[in-house]
Amino acid sequence: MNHKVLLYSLNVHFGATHAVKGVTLAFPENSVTAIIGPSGCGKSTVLRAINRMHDLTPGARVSGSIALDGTNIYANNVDPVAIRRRIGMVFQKPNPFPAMSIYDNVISGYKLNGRIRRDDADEVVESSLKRVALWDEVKDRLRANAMELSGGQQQRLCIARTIAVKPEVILMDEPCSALDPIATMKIEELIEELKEKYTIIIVTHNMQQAARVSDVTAFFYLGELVECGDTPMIFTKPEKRQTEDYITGRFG
Amino acid sequence: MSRLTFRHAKNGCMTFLMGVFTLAVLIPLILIFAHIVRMGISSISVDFFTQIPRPTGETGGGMANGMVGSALLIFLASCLGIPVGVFGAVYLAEYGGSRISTVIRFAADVLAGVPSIITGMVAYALLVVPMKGFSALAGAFALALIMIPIVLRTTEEQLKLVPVTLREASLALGVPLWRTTLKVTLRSALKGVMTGVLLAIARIAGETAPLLFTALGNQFWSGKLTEPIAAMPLQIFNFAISPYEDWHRLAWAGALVLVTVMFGLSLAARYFGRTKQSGL
Repeated sequence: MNHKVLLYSLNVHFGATHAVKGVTLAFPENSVTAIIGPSGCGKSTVLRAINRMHDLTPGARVSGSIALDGTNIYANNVDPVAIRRRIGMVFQKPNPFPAMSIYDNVISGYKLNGRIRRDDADEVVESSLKRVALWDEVKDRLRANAMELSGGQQQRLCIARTIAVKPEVILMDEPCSALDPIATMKIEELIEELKEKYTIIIVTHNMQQAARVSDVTAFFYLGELVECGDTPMIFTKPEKRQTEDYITGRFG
Repeated sequence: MSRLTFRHAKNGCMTFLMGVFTLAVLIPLILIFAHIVRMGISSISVDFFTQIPRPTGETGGGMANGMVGSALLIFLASCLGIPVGVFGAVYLAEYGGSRISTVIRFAADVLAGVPSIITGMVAYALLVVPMKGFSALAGAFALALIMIPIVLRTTEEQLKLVPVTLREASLALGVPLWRTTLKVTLRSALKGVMTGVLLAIARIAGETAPLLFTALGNQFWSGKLTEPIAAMPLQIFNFAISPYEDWHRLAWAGALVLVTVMFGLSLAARYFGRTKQSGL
């Protein structure tokens, strides 16, 4: 299997804090990789390094390299904006644009960047919403404000907005932690379908979720990568003692 | 008396006292407004809004030139004060490093505290002296100096209230930072920014001191921005200190119009402030 994204001795510092320590890790193409670990282990920090979200955090420093299809996205001649178009992100709390309608939220990636032709917009909206299984629920009220949707619907809308700009990689930062079990189940089913087209990297607190949705699991502890392997292996026969302790609930 | 009844009594007394102090805050405002209405309302007429002041000895006349002059001064001051204040605030909230931001913020606070007569003197030295004459431009410049810190600080506060998650949502879609700032952050804070701008306009609309050495005032219509220009507060001041009964009446009417305009601006600011949570 191809490696879509490759971290090589990645370090992230926030001022004096060394948050991610020398992580080398490969994310296979068209599959779901889960990053698990206790709070503060640096898993979200790793995720946000992959689409250069730390660029705007004062005091944040990223060293080492992250390759997307073999090109280092931290090289000097790389435009972070172009990278973020190829690597989309879904956040912990659903964050649709509150002043926009459902329709406008889906095409927000285009609208904020300029204009989009009306016919194209209609098509993008329909196909994106169908892909996240939201179309039937909202097709009669596309002009309604996005904030009228339930939390789970809002999160699916955010995923629709992300795939509307046709990324190659989707980063998900605990996408279900603010949702109820039924909404969570829908998102998990969606992740399963999306991996046919996209490479998905998901940070999660929920180990059952990691076991259910991912093909590969990486376990982080105190800013270091402890272990990475096929998900069934990690959850049944982990190599490291720390991993076993964590997944059996002895700490974390 | 049991402890409980004592506490209830104490509670009642304190609530009553707070009510009295609240009234004490309202009374001066009501008195001022009532007095100005009583003195000014009889001199409000169509002439007041359409005529310029008549020479002494002649009755009638109005403050049309002062009103147009004030509107022009406010417009010119806004042309300088709003962009500088808003974009300065965008820099502070979105781009600035911590040290330079602290310096700018401190400078803005000091500028806001400078007595407005000093601001007028600065405009006199910077514009009136080199241009060899009092002018609308110098007056507008002095008013803009007063406006900038107000707009800057209120805009910055409003920008800081925009959730980081919204900025991140936009950035993660591959929208450049400048577009995100313009179309997401500033757009979200727009109503709050409007409130700040309106309050700043209300503030400068009544400023008299900075215009004394700059716009100077004018009994007639002024044709050019490089000439002295009439302004409501200046005209009120000049008429009020004059010995003529007729001019006193015009001053009262002018005060009534000015206070009403400022009241309206404050109401508008409140309206924007009230609804800023609901929309983005």
